Amino acid sequence: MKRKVLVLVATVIGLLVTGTALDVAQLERWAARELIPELQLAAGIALGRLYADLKTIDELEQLAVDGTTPGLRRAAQVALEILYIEAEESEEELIAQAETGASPELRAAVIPALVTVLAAREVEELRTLAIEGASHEIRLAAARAYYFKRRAELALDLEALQAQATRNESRELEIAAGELWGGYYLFHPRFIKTQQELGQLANVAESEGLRVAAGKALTAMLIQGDITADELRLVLVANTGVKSPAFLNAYIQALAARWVPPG
Amino acid sequence: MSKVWIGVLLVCLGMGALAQDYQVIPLGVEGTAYEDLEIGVPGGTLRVAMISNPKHFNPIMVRDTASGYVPDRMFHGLVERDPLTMEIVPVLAKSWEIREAPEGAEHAWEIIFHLRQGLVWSDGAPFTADDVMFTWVDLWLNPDVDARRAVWELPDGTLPSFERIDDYTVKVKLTTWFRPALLSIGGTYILPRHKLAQYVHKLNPEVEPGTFNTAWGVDVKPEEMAGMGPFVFAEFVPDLMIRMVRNPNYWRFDPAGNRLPYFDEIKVFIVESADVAILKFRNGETDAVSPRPEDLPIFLAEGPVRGYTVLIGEEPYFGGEFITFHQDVEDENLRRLFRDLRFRRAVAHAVDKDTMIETIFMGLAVKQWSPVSIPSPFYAPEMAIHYEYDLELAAQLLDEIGIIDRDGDGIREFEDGTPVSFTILTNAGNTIREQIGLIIQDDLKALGLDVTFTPIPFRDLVGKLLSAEGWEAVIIGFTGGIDPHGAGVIWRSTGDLHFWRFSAGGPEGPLPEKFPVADPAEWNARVDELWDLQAAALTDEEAYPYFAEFQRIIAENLPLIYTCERNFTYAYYEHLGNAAWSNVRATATGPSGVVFSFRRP
Repeated sequence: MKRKVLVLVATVIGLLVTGTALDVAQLERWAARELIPELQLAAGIALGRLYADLKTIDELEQLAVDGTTPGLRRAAQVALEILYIEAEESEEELIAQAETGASPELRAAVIPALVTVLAAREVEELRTLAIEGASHEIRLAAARAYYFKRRAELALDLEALQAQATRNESRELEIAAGELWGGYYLFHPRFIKTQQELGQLANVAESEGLRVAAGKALTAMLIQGDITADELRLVLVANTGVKSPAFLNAYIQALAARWVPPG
Repeated sequence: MSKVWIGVLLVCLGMGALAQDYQVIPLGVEGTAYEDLEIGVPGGTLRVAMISNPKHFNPIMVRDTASGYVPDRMFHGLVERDPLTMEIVPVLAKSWEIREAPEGAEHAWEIIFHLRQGLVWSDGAPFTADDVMFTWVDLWLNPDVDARRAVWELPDGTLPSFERIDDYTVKVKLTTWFRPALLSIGGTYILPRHKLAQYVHKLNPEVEPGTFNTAWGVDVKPEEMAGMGPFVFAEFVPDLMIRMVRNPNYWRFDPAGNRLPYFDEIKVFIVESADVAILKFRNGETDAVSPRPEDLPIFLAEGPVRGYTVLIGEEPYFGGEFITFHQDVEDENLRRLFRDLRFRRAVAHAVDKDTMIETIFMGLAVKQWSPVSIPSPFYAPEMAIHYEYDLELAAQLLDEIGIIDRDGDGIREFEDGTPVSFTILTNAGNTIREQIGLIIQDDLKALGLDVTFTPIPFRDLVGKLLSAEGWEAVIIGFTGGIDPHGAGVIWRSTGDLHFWRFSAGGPEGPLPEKFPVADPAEWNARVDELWDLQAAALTDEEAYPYFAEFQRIIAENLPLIYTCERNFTYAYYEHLGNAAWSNVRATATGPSGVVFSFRRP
């Protein structure tokens, strides 16, 4: 109960300070009723950060399956990602849920916890699992663990990492390579990119991995930049050309962070 | 005014004086480096991770980082070096005087420490000069206690002596001036006499000699300990966790009058690897961590999404990584080669620091040219010699020595036709050294040297280096500090860590049986002299030119060839207040963590 009060206090303070933060009721309305899917998802992500302190795992698992909109289900997923890590479930339980969870959100919610437990495995085992795993979520968790374990080695051969973000043995390996590669766009003297370049790459880069890379870096840049919640919303609702999922996701994440700061 | 009111006034004045003496507000005061301090919210748990178990909690026996964690938070010295200003500041002492001894005294100099009055240990026992004398005399000067007394050794080879003047005044007596005395003696953690005297044979003949050395092992009960630091030991579960709780009697306050520290407790999770520590932080299970270069792409992209900040300082860490050659190696050809300055200059020109910085450190490191740590005030960049990467010049130097490829196989040979072949070792598992080694190996091979690079277990490596057997070249590093004085063990010809040429010390060195006759390099004598001169200098400013000359000598003679030092990095969640103040000398979660205030929404 004390934790709930603290979160509400923090939310109110956030509203006063930024003028953009939203409370639980507002976010629930947006996540349930907003017609523009991207705004609904942003509200869901922001709401999920609050739900982690407000709802039980059982309630959230129910919502991840029965939630009436993708926004509400995403809220449940975000909250469960946090709670599953705290719950320290076994590898078997996590893998079972990643394989047979009743909704994509319920399956995706175990990925961060699964990455942590899988990181104890050997890299070759992880690579195999990232190719042959029984579900997208298992393969993605294995791929993320694989690149986490290989990050020091690949730091010495960034061309190889870039190539793996361009083409890989599975879609999930390509995405995970892209997620690691994207970090280099933010600081590496040879690869650093501007926000404009990242936006462009996130939309039109030749592979999903490279688009994910640019989107990942763009997300960080947007959250840390001066762009306001209203400006982020405008980009999401503007009917200007085709936007890739990686590009949209960057703006969705940034908008969610404006509404409820992460952490 | 009636006598009663005068009495009350005197009591109030007395209490005011006592409060002044007792309540220390070193932070947040306008006009100081801490004036922007954010007042913290008391309560909560600070969570961090550590990758090995402590071996004990006895501050005098600490030889490894893990064992130092609890003592570093549980004890203070009389003085310490401020992590922001680098000035020596009073801690358990409120002030000190340094003066020449009165005429006729047996000593030449004395430091008088005036202790803060009214302080109590975490268990409520009063803190007095008896604790200081116990720590200095009954522990540090006691041959029965395995203390590192060498750091107290004066330039004339004697140790300081001590005198208790009254309950709150102690005197350090020095037979000759010793510049580092204030910090090396005054900075020693003061330990509680009422808890530890029972383990000291000279004070309690009922216990065996040496008993103190095993006191406060990992099975110690919290009530058997007491500290003057911000936190006190509460619980240790091997392979799982150390827990410390706030010292209810801690004597520092913030400018708003809150008693420090802010956190109720610290939980240190013991994890099996640095990777697990990184994952725990990313999952929000710990509050702060020091990421390595390879973590930065993940951290910089993920931090804003997860709500944590990554600090990348412009300053590098203390210490230095280097390659060095065994100048006492048994093979005569190699020994002659390694002692030839032209060879070492050739290698210095073959160390491609730009590539190291770009590939290993991703641009976040600096080139190191000096044996003194860059953040140290004694670092003298004007004395550096920059051996720029130039393989052509390196090849010319090797030609000059007369090691050339005589049979056209791409490998240089000595005059007798033997190929120039040697192995470079490093400690396995240190990814940065392993990567540095690969780059150096490639360049030395390009010069026609038959080089093998082999990482081996750290324990084996140390064994080889300290026995002067089984090694030819090594890539390793020394941790540095603010005052290079302590590096005498490395740089003095007789130093225990002068391992690239133990023969320099001869019978006075650490291996007298192996090297019965001293065989120093030509510069050893001057460095020995400089070490005495800096120790005898009155002030740091006076010591600076001696350290500067030392840096020039090392730059010219290259006994160690430095590589790069990475920049300070630190990551923390936003709920950790004042963590942005962190620097190479202190982090919010580090030993000086109490000087930062924490917030916890």
